[in-house]
Amino acid sequence: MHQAKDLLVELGLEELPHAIIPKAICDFKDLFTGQLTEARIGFSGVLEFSTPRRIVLLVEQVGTRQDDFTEEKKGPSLEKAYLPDGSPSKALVGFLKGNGVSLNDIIERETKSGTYIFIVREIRGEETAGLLPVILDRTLKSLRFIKTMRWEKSGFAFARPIRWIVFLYGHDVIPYEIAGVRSGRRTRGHRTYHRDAVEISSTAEYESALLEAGVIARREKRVERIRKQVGSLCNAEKLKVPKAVESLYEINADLTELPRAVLCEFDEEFLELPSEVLISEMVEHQRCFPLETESVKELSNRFVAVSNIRDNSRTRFGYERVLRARLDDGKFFYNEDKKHNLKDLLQRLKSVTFHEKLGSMYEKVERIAKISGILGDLLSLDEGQTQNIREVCYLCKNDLTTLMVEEFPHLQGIMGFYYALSSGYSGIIAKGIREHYAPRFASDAPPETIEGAVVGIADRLDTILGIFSIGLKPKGSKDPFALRRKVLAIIRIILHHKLHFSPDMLLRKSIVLFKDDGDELRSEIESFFTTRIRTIFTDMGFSYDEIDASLSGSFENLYEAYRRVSALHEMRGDKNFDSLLISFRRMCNIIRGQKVAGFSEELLVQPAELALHRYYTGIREDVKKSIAERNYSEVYRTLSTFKPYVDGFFDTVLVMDNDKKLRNNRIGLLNEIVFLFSDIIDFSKIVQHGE
Amino acid sequence: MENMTFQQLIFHLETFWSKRGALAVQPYDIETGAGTFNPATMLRSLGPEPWYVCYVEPSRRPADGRYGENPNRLQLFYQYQVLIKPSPEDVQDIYLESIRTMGIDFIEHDVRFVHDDWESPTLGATGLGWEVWLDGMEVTQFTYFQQVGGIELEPISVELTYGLERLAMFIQKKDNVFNIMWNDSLTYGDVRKREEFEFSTYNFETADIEKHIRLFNDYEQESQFCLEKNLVLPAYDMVIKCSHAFNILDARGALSVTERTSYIGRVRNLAKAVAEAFVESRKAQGFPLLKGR
Repeated sequence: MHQAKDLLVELGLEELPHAIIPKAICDFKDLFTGQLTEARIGFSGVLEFSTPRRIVLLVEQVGTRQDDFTEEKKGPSLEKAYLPDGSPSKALVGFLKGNGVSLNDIIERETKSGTYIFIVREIRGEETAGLLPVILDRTLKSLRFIKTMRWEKSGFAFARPIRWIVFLYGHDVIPYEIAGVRSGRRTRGHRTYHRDAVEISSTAEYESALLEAGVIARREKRVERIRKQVGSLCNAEKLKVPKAVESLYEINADLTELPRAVLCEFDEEFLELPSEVLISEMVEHQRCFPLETESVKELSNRFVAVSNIRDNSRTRFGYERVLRARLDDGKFFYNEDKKHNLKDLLQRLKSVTFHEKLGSMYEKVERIAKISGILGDLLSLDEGQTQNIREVCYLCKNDLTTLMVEEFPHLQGIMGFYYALSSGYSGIIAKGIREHYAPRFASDAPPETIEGAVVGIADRLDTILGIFSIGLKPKGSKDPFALRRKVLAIIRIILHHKLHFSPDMLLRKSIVLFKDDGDELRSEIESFFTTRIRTIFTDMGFSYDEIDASLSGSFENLYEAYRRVSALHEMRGDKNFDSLLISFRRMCNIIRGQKVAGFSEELLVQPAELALHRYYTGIREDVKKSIAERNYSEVYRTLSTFKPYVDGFFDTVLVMDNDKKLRNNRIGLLNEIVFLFSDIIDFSKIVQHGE
Repeated sequence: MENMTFQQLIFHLETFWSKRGALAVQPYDIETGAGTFNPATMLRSLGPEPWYVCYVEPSRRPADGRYGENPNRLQLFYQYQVLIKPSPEDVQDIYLESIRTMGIDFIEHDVRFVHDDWESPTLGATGLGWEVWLDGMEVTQFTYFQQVGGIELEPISVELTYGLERLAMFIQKKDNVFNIMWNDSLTYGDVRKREEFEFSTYNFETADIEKHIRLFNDYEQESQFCLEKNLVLPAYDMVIKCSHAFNILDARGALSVTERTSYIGRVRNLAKAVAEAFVESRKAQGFPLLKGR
């Protein structure tokens, strides 16, 4: 074992955008340690630090030399290495030359494909210190950011200007230079509390030296500190931080080197604004914590700001003033917007482009209304619902041109909800508008109202059909219109609302809005959907063979497919049932490719086939009835009672009898049995555990 | 230190930056939307010649007017603009010093550089940088230009744009812009409130839409005409005028979203043509400011 020393590399930067810090430090670590490993330099662990002004790695116990290693190089085969007179061939001479060795340095070695010439040599590891500059250089040049900038004459591009580099190996500085910055042992402290350089004499003292200079270098410690401070301010006021804004702890940690929370407040008059607006104003621009009452979860007029200095006695006034200005704006937008009746904003959508090849948002709304109508018919909705859905369609996008949504685009639908209410619409209509965007993200709930569900499906389907029809379907990781997510949302809504309808029919009737001859488009979209159906079913915990076995007909009625797979899934895991399924799969395999020539009871001879047949005819009508009633659990329960008869049959009866008549008759029997269940399960897709 | 008046704040910045070598020029005499539009920034940031300049720029944003009724919104406000090419290594420190010497103590006040990349679709310009927060209030836009008029810059300029009203509000602890003391006896409101009212009325209600569409077209043509005659600087003046005519049309609500995009594109095309012509023109003059370097 070589000796080892700790290695410290600190990249000192002008403030990094907070959102990129977590990935930047993670990539820095992966790339740098990857380079070490590739260079055969050992180390025992890595600590990482990050603040807005620095990303730092402390690599522990880095070996002072590369590991030695044995290099082996394969040359020409023995036959080709020497000429008949025993002198080296051209191939061998070339090999020697290329590797800078002589005939004395080679050996012959047996391999699977014959004897070959080899060079085997011990490469002694080089000193780590000499390799580190290249390792850091490669790391910095392979770091990738969404946006980079240039700032000095070398033209090196990085996320923000590099202003200093600390590069220490044990006590020694490793010389390195990039973008006009030379490495050294001098770092910088907090802008306010330590304006002089901070000398780091050895790696071990880095964290404490920075702390003394007013910087908490570990991100997780800053997160913890903010949590504690916000928590204690909240407790004193019986308030709490809403769940939805949890990410603020980390955001504020990535905006500060020495965070300090301060409790502030705004005028109660602003509480008349929708809480979503208040929260957006606090969170998105100011990164402040909104607070809600512990008991009733109502938004309070208190909030917490996080500063980067120790003493907040003077800062509070500033934070409150800034928020007041923002809320004034919000109030102005809200009141201006409310001057219009929401329905009057429909015309404005004519000047909002949905997609240049698919027309305006107004045209989209008209298509949404048509698709919603089609879906409503397929679902046999009542007149009241149909009327509501129509109303929601012609209102759902009207908030797009309001001042508030222009300021906070993600409040689309939410503002529509409030403006619908203030325009005198019923709660159901307002909710439908808000919910047609739900689920907005993976953990978001689907719409509660049927109005929101139907319009939400129609809106998404319109986008999917439209984008596919102009040839922009998702490719690989490129899905700029988030079509995959839209399909997943549609499926979730169908399952959540237990919507019984034929997606196939909906697609056929809607597709004419885009294309006269939509067959190709339809099959593309069907397979796009089917892939997502599998994804959702898999996420629900169903195994892939259960899904495959139950999926046929899913495009006639998706919700029933879900019920079939659930029913099947419930029975799985029972050993007897599983082995029964395998027996049924065997039946399928036997039938497959055989001409089924009918079946006659008189030709049954063996007791086991008679028993199987008798049992089958006994339960046949019950199974048909259960299937008709879509009582899949009952079907599977009945199926499971087949076990002894099926086992008996396969144990004692040879299907492939030499007598053709008997053979065909047996195939006919199996075919009838399998056919009885074929509407709900495809046995051939079943896979045995461990297969 | 006494709290600075609005005019003292301007004097302070003029002195601070000219002492450090900046050329103190004057506001441009055409309506600009921001200090960036002044040719001392937009054009001088192009090409290899060094440049270090500071000036006040009255900035017109017709759509932001509130008839003088909103304590924080104005259709005309003042920016203090600094452009340094090439960008110095310690520019953040110099900037902070300019704030500290206004009498703002960083022991008591929280100063922060918060990510805010900048983009001007009309100028074909982009940059990376921050908004600078003082106790959460944005008081400066701090940008490393990367591209102007569609041209990748080399060397890189850094642009500092101080919001003078906001700084004055901060220093004087006012929460209404009209209460800022401009000098010892007159407030910002005394000087400008009526102007805000009249221009808001004009921008939102009165400005003749047809005329401004015509003005836009005329300025656009004139700009192209100047370029044909190789008169780059007049051509650029017409770009600024186009941009202002567009802003008025926008405030009047005369443009649909699609039209808006198309107008912005037209200004950008002019700006790009001017930018290229400007670099050519400086080159033809032998990049005079490179001499002696």
